Amino acid sequence: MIGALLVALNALVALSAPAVGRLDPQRLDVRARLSAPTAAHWFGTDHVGRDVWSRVVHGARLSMLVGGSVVLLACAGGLFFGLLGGYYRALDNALMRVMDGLMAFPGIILAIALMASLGPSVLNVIVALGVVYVPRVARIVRGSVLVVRETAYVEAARALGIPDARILLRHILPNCLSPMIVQASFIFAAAVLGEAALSFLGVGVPPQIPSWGNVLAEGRLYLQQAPWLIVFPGIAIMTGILGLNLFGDGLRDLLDPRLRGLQGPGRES
Amino acid sequence: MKVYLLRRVLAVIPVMLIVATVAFVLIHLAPGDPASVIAGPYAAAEDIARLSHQLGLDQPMPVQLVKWYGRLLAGDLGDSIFLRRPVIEAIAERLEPTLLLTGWALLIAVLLGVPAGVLSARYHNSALDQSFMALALVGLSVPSFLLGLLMILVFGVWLGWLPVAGYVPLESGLWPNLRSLLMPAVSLGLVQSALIARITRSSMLDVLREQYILASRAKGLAERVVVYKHALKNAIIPTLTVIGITLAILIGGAVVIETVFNIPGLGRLIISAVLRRDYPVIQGVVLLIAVSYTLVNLLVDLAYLVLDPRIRYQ
Repeated sequence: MIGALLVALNALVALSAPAVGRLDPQRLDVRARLSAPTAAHWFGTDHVGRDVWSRVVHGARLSMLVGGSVVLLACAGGLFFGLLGGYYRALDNALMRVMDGLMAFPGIILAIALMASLGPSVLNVIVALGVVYVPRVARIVRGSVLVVRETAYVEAARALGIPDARILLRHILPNCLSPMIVQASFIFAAAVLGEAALSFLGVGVPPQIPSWGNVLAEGRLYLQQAPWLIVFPGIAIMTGILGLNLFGDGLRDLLDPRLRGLQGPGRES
Repeated sequence: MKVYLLRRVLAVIPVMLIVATVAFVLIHLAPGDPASVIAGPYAAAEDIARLSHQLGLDQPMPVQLVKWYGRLLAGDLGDSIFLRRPVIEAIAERLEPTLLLTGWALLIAVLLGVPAGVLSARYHNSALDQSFMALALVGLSVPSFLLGLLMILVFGVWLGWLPVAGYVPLESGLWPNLRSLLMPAVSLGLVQSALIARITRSSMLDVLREQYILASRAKGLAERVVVYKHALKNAIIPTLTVIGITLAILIGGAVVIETVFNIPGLGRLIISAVLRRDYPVIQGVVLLIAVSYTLVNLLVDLAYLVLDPRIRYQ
């Protein structure tokens, strides 16, 4: 419940960023640089006088965008490979070895390497993190397909001569969704963290775009003079991720109590 | 058991092959000709051609791939474009801080996570259990680099107890080395202990519901013996798997934490290589990390054989 509330709050802030952001996150005000929190600048200002509150709020927007897109990409890819691998024995071995190979890289390392080739941009961050999470979704989907394909109703469908594609989409897919949806909420959280980490390292979203990772990376340089540059964006990240994790836990208990404890926030950064 | 052992060891080969292929593909993912991307926008045509030849990029793709496998088998990771020296040397130089950091962080994560999980399960639904689990959930929501920054702020800047950043190599003495790694290792390990605590607790709870636990309680064994001797042994197996996963997260986290604390390890190496588009170094570090992670997971699986006789006799 608290999780859903936090997620909703975050989404609301993200959606209304231009309104609640009050000031342009890019606007420079050199006279007010590194100013502590005031009535004009709720979270203070950074080293070139940009308003931290509005940068954090716009950062929330970017995080939601990245998180949502990564989830869509990872689930689409994961479903595709998971359904194929689970249903067609011939493909299974090869597909799963490739997935194993991709999972042999710690997520953030693979994302960094991909970013090195793709170059820094929001789209590329989404692609890189999407590639990282496709194998994880694929494995979960494949696991459920392996169970569902042995059920009597799938056998009956096959006996009736229903084409494979239809069996897969109409009869198997709906029964594989709930573990994937649970995982999706954790992937959302991991993607938000991943974006923050990549941007913090300087290989994610280009520095001029307000993102939680970018704000923290700049704040790190002024840690001694201006701790608010770290503290407020930090609180934003923590509550954002906490909300997503709580939401995921709740969703898991709701959709599939048997999974309790088996799935959980799978952290990669 | 021998069959299992052999199959598990052999299963590593295709994974390694794919890991090597992914590392190879990386350089070709960049839009346009990799050599001109590496050389930068202002490079002369002959420089690009020379670089292309030096990296073997002027050969057909399958030839390149086969040569790449061959070089890897010989343990040759190529030369860094920017540092103008073998990649393997650059990596060897940066290995110490990353290994020590990851090692300490793992130790902290296990020493905090396992007892917290076991206690939470033993006193299930108590105030202790609930506060541990609430802490664990918060822990899972804090990125390690943020925790690191906050620790620098509190212990480095405000209290002045520990160095704000930097790394003291082991050869300058164990204590200065430990001091420089304390905050990085804690910020990395603390976050991971949350994951370990959660898994240990849930596997412990599952085991405590088993019949043989009921039997040992029925024959009047002390609760202490039941929990720590009979239950823990079986509950530790899922925890071991998680420790394997944790290691991957720790290696990944170390890369980020090194930036926070200015530690000259593999993480700094790969990040600076990314910024300079020094592909051989990126490939080398990525490969090394993936291979060592795969080998650690192999060791974890082999440790099951020791811990779980059910697998041994299959």
